[in-house]
Amino acid sequence: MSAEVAYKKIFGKPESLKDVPTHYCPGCGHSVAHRLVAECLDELGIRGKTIGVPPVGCAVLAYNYFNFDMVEAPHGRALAVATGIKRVHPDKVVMTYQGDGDLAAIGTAETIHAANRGERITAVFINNAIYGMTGGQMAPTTLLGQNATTAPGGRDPRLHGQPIDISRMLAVCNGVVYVERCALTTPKDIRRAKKAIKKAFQVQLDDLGFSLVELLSPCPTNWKMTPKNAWTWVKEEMIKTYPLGVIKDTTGYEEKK
Amino acid sequence: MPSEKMLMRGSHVVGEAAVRAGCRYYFGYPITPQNELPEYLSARMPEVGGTFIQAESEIASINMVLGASAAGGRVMTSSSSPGISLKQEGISYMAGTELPAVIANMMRGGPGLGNIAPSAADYFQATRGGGHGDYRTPVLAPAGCQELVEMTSLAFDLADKYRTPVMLLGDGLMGQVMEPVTFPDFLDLEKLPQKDWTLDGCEGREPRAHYSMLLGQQGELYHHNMHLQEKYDLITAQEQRWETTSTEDAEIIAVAYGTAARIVESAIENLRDEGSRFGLFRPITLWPFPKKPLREQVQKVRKVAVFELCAGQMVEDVVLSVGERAEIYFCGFPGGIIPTPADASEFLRSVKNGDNKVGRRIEL
Amino acid sequence: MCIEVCPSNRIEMDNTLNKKGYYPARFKENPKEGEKDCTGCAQCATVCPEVAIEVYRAE
Repeated sequence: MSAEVAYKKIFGKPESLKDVPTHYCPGCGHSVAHRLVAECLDELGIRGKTIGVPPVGCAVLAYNYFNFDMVEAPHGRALAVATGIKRVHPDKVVMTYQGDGDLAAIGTAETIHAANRGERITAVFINNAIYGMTGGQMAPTTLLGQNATTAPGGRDPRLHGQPIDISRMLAVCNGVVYVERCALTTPKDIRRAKKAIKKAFQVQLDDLGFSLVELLSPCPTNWKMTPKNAWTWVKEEMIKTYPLGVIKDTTGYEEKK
Repeated sequence: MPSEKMLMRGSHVVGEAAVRAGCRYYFGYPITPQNELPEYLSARMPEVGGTFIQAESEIASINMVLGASAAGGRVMTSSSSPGISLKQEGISYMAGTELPAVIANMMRGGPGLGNIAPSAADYFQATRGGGHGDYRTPVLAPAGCQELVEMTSLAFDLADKYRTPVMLLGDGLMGQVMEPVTFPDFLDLEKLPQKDWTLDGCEGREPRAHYSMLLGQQGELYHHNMHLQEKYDLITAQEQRWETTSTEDAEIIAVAYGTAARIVESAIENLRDEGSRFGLFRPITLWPFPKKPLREQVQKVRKVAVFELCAGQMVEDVVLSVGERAEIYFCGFPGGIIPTPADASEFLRSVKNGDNKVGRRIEL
Repeated sequence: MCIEVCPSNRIEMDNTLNKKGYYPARFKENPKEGEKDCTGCAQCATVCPEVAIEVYRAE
């Protein structure tokens, strides 16, 4: 770059993210999701009053990457742990960051009831349609026909049931104010995801109720694809079962174009 | 100043004692025979500016306890035997993460759904960790409503002092009886020692993270376990509690805790009238079990009679403490049966006569 | 992923291995005749999973 022109940094590492390399696979959506959450916390200026609960899953070590207070929860119980924290510190921002097994399998009861109670908590839900950390078993969100180590030959509706749409199930609860599903694929999708996450935190700051952002995320390793193909697969296949968009919005916020 | 004497049900006593001991967060789920405790706290907590949530399950409530504890609150939950089984995962995590809390178990008949009658068959579960991994939790076993007051308060203090979950062990009978009690004054929350490890947002300091997973290759989990063991050694050295009744001139020492101890106490009084000299050794901390004190009491006698409201659990700790120094006899009532002092007297007489009519000798 | 999304085609694969055993991406300095320059659109940084890219714009 030429030395005469002054340059302003417009994109760098957010303060809410520690400056360490992550252990995530090449092409994994977690790193992008972490960055988006961190950017939102920075922009809202709430890093110093945020307490997070990571999942059990690939992101179990999220406390090594996120630069704010965190406490580990048993698998699936993050939203119950978050409820306990929020009741002690109602003035702080409490969030969970969970995968599909954590939020929609073992944690289903804790998820539904925290949402139903309208806890002022923000849940970031990473849906990659597979169990990553344990090596590729079927998730509740695995698509029909999709291969998994515990559904060899592909998910069969008679044997394994249909993929679950927990976001739409939660939208039925009156305590839930905002649910949106986004994807971590193209830059445009990623920017939309960031807007959704920021709005979800704003819901908590405005004491409106429970908010959740579902992020369709690639898992090249367990889908046995290249990162590029994985990112395409999210866009072309996953959204057939999990269409993107706002699932519930009773915030009353005006959408800025 | 302490309250005046009042007549109160055991379950309510625990609630009031907890609130006076500074507990401001309760998360629980209904299960007989302790429903009166969450019901009491659902009204009492808002009065003192605390929080009460009836959670969707015992699992959810122990995890809310975990979160509230990490956030710095004095927090408790309660349940009864099957519900305590559900909480074991959370308790193990809290032990590993070193988070304080009080868990009250009003024991009932088991295993499985069992019945709703009082029992004391959760001794192993309470004293041997209960969940997975190498951990212990202090276990306090009061024997009546006034002691429930003291033990509830002590439970919170021990939990904070050692950063550990603490089990308060009662039973359905203790939860239901009404006895006269006095309560201490409300604890001044400002005067409690400050916790410098809690999560309240990292403004102005480095972020904190609490977790129990230690994957490091340099033996991090091993060292953490060693640290926990040192803590448990310290608790064992400093926090044993027990009580003796009529042991100075006793020919035979009975060992019992909780409600069973009160039954034995009545039996011993009646037997003294007959001219038989029995004494009672009553552990108050079941973990750490008062091994040496029991061993010392047993020095003067040839026989020890263990009386439990279960099929035989504390008796193993008695064996560990006493060994071959005395003959050990056991009589137990599992399945929610409450024996009378007459039942206990029959057992103690049988031990004295050596006729094996009631109970049995424990062969080592 | 950055290589895929850059509209000005300013990024290419490095042909040296980095510490983790991968061929990382590398910014192409000094655009040649007829090639577009970096516009600072930050699409690359948006998709980068490693937050490895910093973007500067001329003021």
